[in-house]
Amino acid sequence: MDLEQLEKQENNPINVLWDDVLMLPVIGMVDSKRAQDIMDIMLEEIERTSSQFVIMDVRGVVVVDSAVANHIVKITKATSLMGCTTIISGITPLVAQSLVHLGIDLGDIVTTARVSDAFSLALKKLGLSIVKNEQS
Amino acid sequence: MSAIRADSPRPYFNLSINNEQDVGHAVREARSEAYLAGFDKPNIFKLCTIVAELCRNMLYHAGGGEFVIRHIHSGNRSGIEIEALDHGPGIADISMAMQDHFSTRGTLGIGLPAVKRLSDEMHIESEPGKGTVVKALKWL
Repeated sequence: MDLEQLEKQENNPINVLWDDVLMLPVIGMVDSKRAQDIMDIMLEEIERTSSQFVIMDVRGVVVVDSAVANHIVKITKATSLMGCTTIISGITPLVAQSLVHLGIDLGDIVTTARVSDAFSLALKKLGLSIVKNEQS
Repeated sequence: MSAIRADSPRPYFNLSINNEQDVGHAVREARSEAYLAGFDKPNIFKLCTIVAELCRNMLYHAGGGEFVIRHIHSGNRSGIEIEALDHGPGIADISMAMQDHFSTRGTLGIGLPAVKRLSDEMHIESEPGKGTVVKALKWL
């Protein structure tokens, strides 16, 4: 593995949350190189794990402008070509307002406020549910 | 455009935008200036979005440019003015560029109209072949 690949993986830690569900938190500034790295990492991991859902958490993104929104749309399209649905979580009130002011239509992209909402949505679509243990 | 005057105070912060790292730097500076000026969180976020849009525009269309943040005082009002100045190809038709979903580059085409919606006042001057100056102002 070369250094570039190593840095790419360190900067974009993608996790397996459950069978078929991946999660990638995005923190800081998103420029075109970062967006490309995120897309590479996601697609590689989708291929490796054959996951059906990937949750991209954008809560930690410094600024969501039209370029960042454009990247999000492209990443979502690429993952869906691989048969994996992207759920964008971490749409804070600020990000939501910003998207409205920008006039960005995320179209069919599924978005949620919290990571937990995205995760439960993915579990629901997979026919899974979390059940409270009776004994405890 | 009475508030954007030729005798604006001296630049508080200026930066050459030559690559995407500079855009990140500009956004962070704008955020701290907006915070110091007393803006609330939603408006700090809006200012950062304006800065990112304008700086990326300069980068994509003109290969780079100059970015300036000024603190503005007019009567009992104060605010922050963002200026983006480039020596690129200029905008042939400003009214077209201000329309939603108009793009010469196959992008979303929402940058400039979004800046107008996010700011309180906005002013564009452009001369084809010479360059473009965009000023966006937000009152406290």
